[in-house]
Amino acid sequence: MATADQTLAPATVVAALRRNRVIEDYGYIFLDNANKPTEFTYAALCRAAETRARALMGHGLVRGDRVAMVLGQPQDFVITFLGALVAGLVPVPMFPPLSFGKLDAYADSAVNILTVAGAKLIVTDKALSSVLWQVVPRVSTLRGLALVEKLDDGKRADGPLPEIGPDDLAFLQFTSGSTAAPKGVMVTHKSLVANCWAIATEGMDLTPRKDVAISWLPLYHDMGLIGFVVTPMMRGVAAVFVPTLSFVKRPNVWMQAMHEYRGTVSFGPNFAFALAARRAGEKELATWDLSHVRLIGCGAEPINASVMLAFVEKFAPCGLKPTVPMPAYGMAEATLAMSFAVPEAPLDVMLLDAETFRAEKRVVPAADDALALAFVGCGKPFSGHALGIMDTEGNLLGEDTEGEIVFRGPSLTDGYWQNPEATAEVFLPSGWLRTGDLGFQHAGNIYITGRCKDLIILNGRNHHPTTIEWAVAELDGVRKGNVVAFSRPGHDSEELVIVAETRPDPPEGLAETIKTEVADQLSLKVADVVLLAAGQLPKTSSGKLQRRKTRDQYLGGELGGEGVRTLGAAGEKLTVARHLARSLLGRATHAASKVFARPDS
Amino acid sequence: MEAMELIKAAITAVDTSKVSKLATIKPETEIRDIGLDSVATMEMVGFLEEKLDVQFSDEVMVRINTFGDLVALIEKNRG
Repeated sequence: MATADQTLAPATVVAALRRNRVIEDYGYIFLDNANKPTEFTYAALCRAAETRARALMGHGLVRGDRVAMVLGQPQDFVITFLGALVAGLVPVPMFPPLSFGKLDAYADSAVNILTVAGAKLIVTDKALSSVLWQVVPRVSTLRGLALVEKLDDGKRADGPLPEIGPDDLAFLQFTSGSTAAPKGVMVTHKSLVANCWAIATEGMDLTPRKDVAISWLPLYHDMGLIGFVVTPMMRGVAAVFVPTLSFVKRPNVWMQAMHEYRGTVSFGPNFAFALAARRAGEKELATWDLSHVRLIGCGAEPINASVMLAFVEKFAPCGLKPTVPMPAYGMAEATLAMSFAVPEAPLDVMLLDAETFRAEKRVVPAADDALALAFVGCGKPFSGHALGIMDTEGNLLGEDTEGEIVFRGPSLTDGYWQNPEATAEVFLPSGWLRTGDLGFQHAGNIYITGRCKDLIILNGRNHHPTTIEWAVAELDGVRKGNVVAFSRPGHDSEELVIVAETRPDPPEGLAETIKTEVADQLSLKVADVVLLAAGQLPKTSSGKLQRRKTRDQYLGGELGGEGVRTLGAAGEKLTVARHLARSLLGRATHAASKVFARPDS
Repeated sequence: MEAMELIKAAITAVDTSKVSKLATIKPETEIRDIGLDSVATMEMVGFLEEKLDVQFSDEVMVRINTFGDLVALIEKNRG
């Protein structure tokens, strides 16, 4: 394994960029929508970033000013982001409008983020500028909008570039814009380097001139930006960037790029593994060589072992090694990564006794004829960092007990931008970060079992249940304030479930209307709707809805009062251990036996 | 193939569970109403781009709301 020696790490991202300027024969390759590559050697990348820095400063921006970036093309994004860091500005990466219509909702969430960030300038491209001009008058701190195509041709500042130190704020990572008060995580150069150095060395074991990192991940999101723009730079490793929309429109571009550019490492959320496997056809499988791929990390949403297995089986004819999928666990408040599974090792799948786990939150391996739950191990924290499990009173628990996962170490960010209340809620005085995730530790490895907060993760994106519940509550026949939204494990990835209490004699087809409304307003697909009579949703004594309890009852087939046992998602999910073991561990391919190592067996 | 037929083929290709809704599509139907999630929606666009051998720009995309808008876009791109 490459050394994790911190003394070899650069002090800042800007220092890493400058350290790599001696590399004149390779660097980053940016593909456009038509897959046409533009290559920047590391030397050229450094020059381009310095030019972009002077152009941004030429717009009158000074150190510490926030500059919003809404850029869909990787080349525009990476150079502007690095340019802002060189200039000592604080970039605020924002998501571009991605789908049909919904421009009003997009503008509202953009205004929320820009206002909280106090951004002075938006950098965007010609194609998106007409949309973004609409938001400029709504944000008082904004001085205007700059087109990335013209940026370097305008006025440039001369004189010395600022010295950037480890304690300087590098950028703001906004986790969601759909609430009125979105939170921007303050990522410093210190935490960024601590995390990226650990990922590059311990996590992915990157070697310059051998490894090639390939990513289609959105660059306004931490996994794409930190994992694939900043991390390769730590070790001077080559990287290839595919526009996110190219992958979503044509999922085959991912493995095509892995083949064409001899990619060795990549990353994706669970749903992307399913999508890539589903869309690859005979022609592609016969052409692609994926034997050089070392690892494809999987993070940002719950990991489904069956999906990983299907992915490995699908691409086995291309020489893909069965040990390629690598679970990882992270969150923006911890910069990015909190733990990685061992690279190039079999998946670690634990089969637990379902009854004991549900009733007592204790981890007991499932006997062959017991109902079992399967959880995928996400490895151990990096050196110098720690993961723990905390109960609701704030006490640390031992191994094999479920509780809230907490994290600490040098990768911790500085909290939320101008929001000390929200920061104090999750960054504890003891130094631990509350993740809001439920899980347990076993043999030092971390297993994620759910969320304590009610965040719903679909296709790698976070959704607050209230947004969904409010949309449903507006419908005729639904009892206002008596709607619960949560996710259940689906075939490939998490699926959305809505439970609502109805008024007497609800309109016909209400369940269908709910599905249409949620698709219409939020572009989300509802997998199941359960309608209940008044008073059947579980509530606290003070009348508050209990989302977790509702979900537990749904999964247990107990929703709707005693004695009414429906065979819901739980009927599919809860399988006798020996069958689950057979389907996950014992498939009759040589690949499967290498993919899954069962602990304690 | 007629533009609307092409769109229906694209929807079927990305999400077979929506086949039952195809008959209800009218030009004024909003695309969001068909109930595709955001990933499937973009996959559908990818299918159309491939069949037509064009690239719709991001700017054009965000200004499309109904199936009628999409039909007009397809016909324009066919020249």
